[in-house]
Amino acid sequence: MGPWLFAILLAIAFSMIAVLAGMNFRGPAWKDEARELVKKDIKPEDYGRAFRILLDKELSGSRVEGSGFIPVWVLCILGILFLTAFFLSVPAYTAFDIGVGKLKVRRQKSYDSFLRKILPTFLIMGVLASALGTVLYESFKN
Amino acid sequence: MGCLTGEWIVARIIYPCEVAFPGPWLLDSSALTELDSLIAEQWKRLSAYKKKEIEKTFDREKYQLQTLDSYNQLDENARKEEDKKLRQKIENDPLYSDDGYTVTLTLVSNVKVVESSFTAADSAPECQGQLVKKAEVRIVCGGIKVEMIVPAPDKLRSLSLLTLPEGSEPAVEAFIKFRKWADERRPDWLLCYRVRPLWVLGFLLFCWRLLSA
Repeated sequence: MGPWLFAILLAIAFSMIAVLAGMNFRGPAWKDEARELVKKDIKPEDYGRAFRILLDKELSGSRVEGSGFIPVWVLCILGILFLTAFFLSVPAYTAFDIGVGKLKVRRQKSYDSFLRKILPTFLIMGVLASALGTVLYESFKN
Repeated sequence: MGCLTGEWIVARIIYPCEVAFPGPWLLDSSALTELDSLIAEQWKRLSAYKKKEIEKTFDREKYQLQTLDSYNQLDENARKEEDKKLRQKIENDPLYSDDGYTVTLTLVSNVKVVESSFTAADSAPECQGQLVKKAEVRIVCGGIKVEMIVPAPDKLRSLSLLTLPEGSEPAVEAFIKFRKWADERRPDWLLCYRVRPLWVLGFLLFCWRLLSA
């Protein structure tokens, strides 16, 4: 079960990277259109177009201030991946409960328990909080 | 089962008596205490097997002696003396010279501590100031050998278990018992697949480059 789960998690991580790599981080179409409109000076006949660009901007979904055009969910998942990878990067080593080794075994067992119980709870709560926050933000904004 | 030259031959299955479980291994006091009792139990069982083997050899040798006239002409006391000598000869056979069981611990300073159990090693003064980096369990009794090494000198920091000779019933039984002990305590995927910090650093740098592009 273990290696398969690990392989699935790796596949998900690589799919995420592929999705991110394929995303257009230059920004949405309305921004290019607005830039073009401002450049050629706005005339009265362009007011309708300008108004549509404003509406497009409003309807383009939630963004995080100062993060360019990366959606919140991408940041959340990346944060989760970073955090999980960081905590999993502490390598385990063979230890025996003999003499001074007792402390090493106890410490590793505590860390193992943290990885198995506390970290998943924290991550799930983080995802839920971020999803709830996004929903609340969108509903209050509208 | 087959019949060759009028004699029935029964096929024997020889199970592999060597296994390695990937590490790292976290052996707490309960695991070591259980291993101690397993070593003592196997030693007792192998000693009984050895005694039985000595008796068998003695009977066989005595039967050979009884065919000799020189033995039959001896009086009762002289025969008893001969039997005693024969028994001593069998017991002192070089096959049994290495018999015993040891727990050898290698400390980080490469000093080796040899004890009869992990419990005894726990109170050894050498182990109080240094970490144990390797443990070896060795049981040799009546021509049967059981060897367990944690961690084995491989990349996976495995626990390796070997019993010899292959196909011997007591060796197979010892193998099954030790394997069961190891199987119940083998590290799971989370412990085995913890990645190295360099991989994580590479992943973080890659994502940072991707986002800042």
